[in-house]
Amino acid sequence: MSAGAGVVELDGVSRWFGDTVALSDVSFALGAGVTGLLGHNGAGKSTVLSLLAGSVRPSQGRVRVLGGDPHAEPGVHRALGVVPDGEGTWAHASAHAQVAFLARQRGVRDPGRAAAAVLERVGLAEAAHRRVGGFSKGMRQRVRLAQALVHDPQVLLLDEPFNGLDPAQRRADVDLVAALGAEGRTVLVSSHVLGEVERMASRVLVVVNGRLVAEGEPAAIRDLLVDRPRSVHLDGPRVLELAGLLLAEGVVDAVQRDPAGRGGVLVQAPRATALAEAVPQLARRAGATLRRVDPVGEDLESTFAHLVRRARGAGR
Amino acid sequence: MSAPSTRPQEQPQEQPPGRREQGQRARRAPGAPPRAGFGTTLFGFSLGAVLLRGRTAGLAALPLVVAAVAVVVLVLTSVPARYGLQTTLAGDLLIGLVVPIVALVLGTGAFGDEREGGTLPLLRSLSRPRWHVVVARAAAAWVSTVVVCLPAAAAAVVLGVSVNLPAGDVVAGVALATVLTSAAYCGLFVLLSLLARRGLLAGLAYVVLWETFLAGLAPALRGLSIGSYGRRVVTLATPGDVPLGTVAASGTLTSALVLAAVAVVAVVLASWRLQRTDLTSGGA
Repeated sequence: MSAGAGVVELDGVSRWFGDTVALSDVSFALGAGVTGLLGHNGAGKSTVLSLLAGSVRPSQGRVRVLGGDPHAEPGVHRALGVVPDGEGTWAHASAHAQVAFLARQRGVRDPGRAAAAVLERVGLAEAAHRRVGGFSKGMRQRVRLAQALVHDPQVLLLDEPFNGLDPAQRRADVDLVAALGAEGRTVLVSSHVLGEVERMASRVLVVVNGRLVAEGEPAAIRDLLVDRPRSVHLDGPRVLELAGLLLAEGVVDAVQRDPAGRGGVLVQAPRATALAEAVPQLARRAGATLRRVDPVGEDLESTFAHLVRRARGAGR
Repeated sequence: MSAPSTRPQEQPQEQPPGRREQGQRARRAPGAPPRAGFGTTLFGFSLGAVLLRGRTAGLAALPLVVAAVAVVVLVLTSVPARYGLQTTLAGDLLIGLVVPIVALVLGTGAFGDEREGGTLPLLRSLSRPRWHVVVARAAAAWVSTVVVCLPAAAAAVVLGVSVNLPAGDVVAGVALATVLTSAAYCGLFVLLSLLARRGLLAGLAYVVLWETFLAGLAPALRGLSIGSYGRRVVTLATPGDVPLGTVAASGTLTSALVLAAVAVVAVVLASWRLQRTDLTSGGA
């Protein structure tokens, strides 16, 4: 774990809403730098961030941010910046007014200047004095980021802060978050896009169905996600010969005609990376020309389901 | 957006927390950002959040209609005929309808709009006690309600004075009743907005069913009606002529104290609620 671990801590935390278990016995501690919180929709990412932001209390376990309880102690928020789930801007006020308001209420000495500086940093200097109600979604996301940053917090909790941004804005904001981590802040940012998280985080937590199923460096998490059993649809001339070779070499353990009726075959590979490495070489040997190589079941749900099975089978 | 090169407002962060608000005023260069003013105080921002909504303009029409009714009464009726109408306008229209409806919309909006807009977590993320937030919001709703109701209150005063009632008593009665009834209703509806997701609907049911109908059915029920205490205070100038079916049995001073107490208790409970409540992604 990185130096300064323990700035943000969840210790045996569970949270349920009625009969629904949103989070189950989750523990981790974070230090300086950017940590990605990865999971599909409904996995429990927002619950983790809400607990750390003090918006909800744990049903069981302990939450600490900078040694304090963010739900019970308002003073913690002096050093805590949050981009919560949802809209989170005041439409009636200008960007500068609402960011300055939050700065003042979090103890910043010169809130007007702080608001102007942070709005410039997120690229809203020109629009700072316009009503936020007239902003595009991307601009409102920038306002939310400015709200979280204006009091120069040591800890930042960002719940899917790039939603609604176009690709160029996403890249810029990923760079911004990476820079915030490089400045020594503790940043926890949720996303369901691993590629995005990889670009800014030095560590990734994976939450599935309310459980923390994996944690580690982004490269290790990618290996976990990529190198798993996978079904692949292959099509093209002499694809049956290729399938025979794949079966004979033990790269796949089952071959069937494509059940979706698209032609070609569906192969079941126990290790996706082994299949990716073998296909070009064996296709040459079989004289096959592939028109289609489509992984099947590539949605995040199935990817994370694999992680759940893995966590249950071998422990985290 | 260019890559960030500097941390925002490093100077404030370097101040010890206890000294941040006490720092000396820095010299401001020409073209420097405007100093954060009243709008960034908790009350000032709350006032903007409550008042600067599209619905406030529509809401302001209600007291204006009451004022227009008063003008019609003034023009078309004689003084004796007007005597009973002024009590109806002050007691039934101003205190019985305009104040509760305006307070309902602005009071439930004080936190209901924040929940709808997803900004309630931001109000919980201020580094000051959460009861400050509730007091500021309730005060903003209260002041806004009084301001929006002013045309109707002014009409009640003009009508009262026009039938030769003592001007001092008329002004005191209408002003006290408007201010105190607004405070009680606002406190109640702010609390309701933190207790129920559909605070506006619940409050509307309360006003229509309880305040205007059920509470008038029996004397014992009047003691549980905010409006009945308000009507007792508003008829300060005409204590013997009030329609007894809708007025609290207590005296004017007691009624005023009850209204103030309702406001205080509601704000205390709302503060407790905001401190204790969990804000899920959909709100409180």
